[in-house]
Amino acid sequence: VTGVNLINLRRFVHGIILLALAFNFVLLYAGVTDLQNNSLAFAGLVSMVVTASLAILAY
Amino acid sequence: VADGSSILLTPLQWLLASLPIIVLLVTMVVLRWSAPRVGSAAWLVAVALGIWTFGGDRTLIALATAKGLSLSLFVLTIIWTSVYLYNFVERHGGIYIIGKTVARLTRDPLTQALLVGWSFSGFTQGVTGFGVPVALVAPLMVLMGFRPIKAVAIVMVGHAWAVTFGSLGSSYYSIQLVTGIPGETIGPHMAILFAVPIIVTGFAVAHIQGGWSSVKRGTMGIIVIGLTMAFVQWGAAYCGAAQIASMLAGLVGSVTTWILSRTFLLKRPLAVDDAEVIKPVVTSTSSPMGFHLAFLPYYFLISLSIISQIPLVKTLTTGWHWGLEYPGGETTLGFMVQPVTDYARIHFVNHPAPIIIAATALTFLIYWVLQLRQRGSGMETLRATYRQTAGPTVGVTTMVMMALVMADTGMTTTLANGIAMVSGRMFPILSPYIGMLGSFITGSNTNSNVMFGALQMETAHALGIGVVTLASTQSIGGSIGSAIAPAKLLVGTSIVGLAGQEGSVMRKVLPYCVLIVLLVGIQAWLAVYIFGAR
Repeated sequence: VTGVNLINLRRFVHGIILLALAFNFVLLYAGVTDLQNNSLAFAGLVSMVVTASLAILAY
Repeated sequence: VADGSSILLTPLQWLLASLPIIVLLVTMVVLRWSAPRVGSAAWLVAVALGIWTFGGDRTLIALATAKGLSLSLFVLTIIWTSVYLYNFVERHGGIYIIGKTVARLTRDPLTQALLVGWSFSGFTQGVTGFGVPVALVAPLMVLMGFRPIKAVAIVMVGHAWAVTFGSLGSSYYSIQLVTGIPGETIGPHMAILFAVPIIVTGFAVAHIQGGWSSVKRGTMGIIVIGLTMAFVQWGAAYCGAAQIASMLAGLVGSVTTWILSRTFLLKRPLAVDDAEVIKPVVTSTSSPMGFHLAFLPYYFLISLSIISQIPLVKTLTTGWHWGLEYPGGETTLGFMVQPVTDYARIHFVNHPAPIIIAATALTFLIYWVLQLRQRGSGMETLRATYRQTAGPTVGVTTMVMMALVMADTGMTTTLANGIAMVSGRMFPILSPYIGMLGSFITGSNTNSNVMFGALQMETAHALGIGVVTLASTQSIGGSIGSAIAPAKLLVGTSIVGLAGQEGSVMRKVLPYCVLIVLLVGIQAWLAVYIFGAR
């Protein structure tokens, strides 16, 4: 049962990573094209660092 | 487009610039990490170096990362749609029928490898490219009985000769664009220089298939087929039809291989033990379809690809595209990144993904009319495609992000400048390795040409040697280098069920590519210093 749960958890995390990549794309693009809103680009970058770290752990 | 003329180069900087690639290679080949982990680690290293060593601020790094995501979308749409198409055909029994039919053409594994993995994969590269040859041919070879790792390795090396003139000429046009050398000059020149790589990729395919015994047995056949393909490719380029040079060469090569398989040049000797002959793998139950119905989506794919390249169609569909605008930037070291419009533009008629979607939809319709469509197959195929492509999606995205961070912070230019600076008279030998590096990190011969084409030309001018030869060598190196591009490897491994084993394929393919590129470099050195080529 634990093994099945672990597989499901991994699949769930993999799905989250994919969604996070899409979300980061929107955040980064909005940030780099709106020079008045530089903090959005920074937030996107931080979010991408978290996503990449999660991918190293989850894959 | 970036300008790196003001970059100050020190050995330490050069070493640091190469670090993300070293991390990528070590984690993939030595530590055997999966592509998503490799890409993520390499991107994190590139970001850290970009900020702390190469003077990129957080906005510039965010900009490069966003551009990486744009570019990966361009590649991923091809992976998603081609894997979906393959799964759709597979679920209807079509792949089994295609594999059985092709396997019946010849039962000799060497001829199968040369016919399907070398000539036919070159033809598909000529027509489509962007990873489709790997997605189409690798599973066919598995069905013919080749082990998956061997099948992917054969196709990766086997189609590499066709990349520059492939994809209906996209890389060929890009090298013209960045160097300003007209097509009638560089086309035939490059086609002559391609003769050696064409023949050597044939030998590499034979070696991967069956070691030195296959090389020995296939020598005469490979030389005849290789020279035929090289001549056809040169003829097409000379006649101003360079955009179909690979397609024609691959087609003529496939027919020549099939003919030679019936002659002493390739025919399997009767003395060979039948146990050596690979038996096609039976993976599916019988299907009411014949070969042509099974191959229907690929007929559509090829036809639509050709139609999309007709000048009238191109004119009528001008403006039917989607791409994003990005501002420029500058590092504190003075590396300039120019603003771009329509970045990673997806053309709704010319891009492979819409073509693959249209081919799938047309096939779906015809199968439905002929009552061949299986109920619920669409959703089942979608689920299977998600399972196969979720990991590669993260892998491709992070690796392309790394490539763009390297490019936009000046790391890539630093690397290339360093190679050019230390090589001197040996530059022609190193020149194709720069092209190879570009393809490796961007996954595309076209991108490699855009990135390094001008650098190669400037270096050739500075050294006073053949500009046309070195521009050609850049593209040939890029063509061969695409055989080790992680983005393409991921297409191959994900489609034959080897996801996570990209390192194994890379280890198999890398030595062949390094050797072929070395031969290309030696050829260029001889051409410019001994024969005084332009």
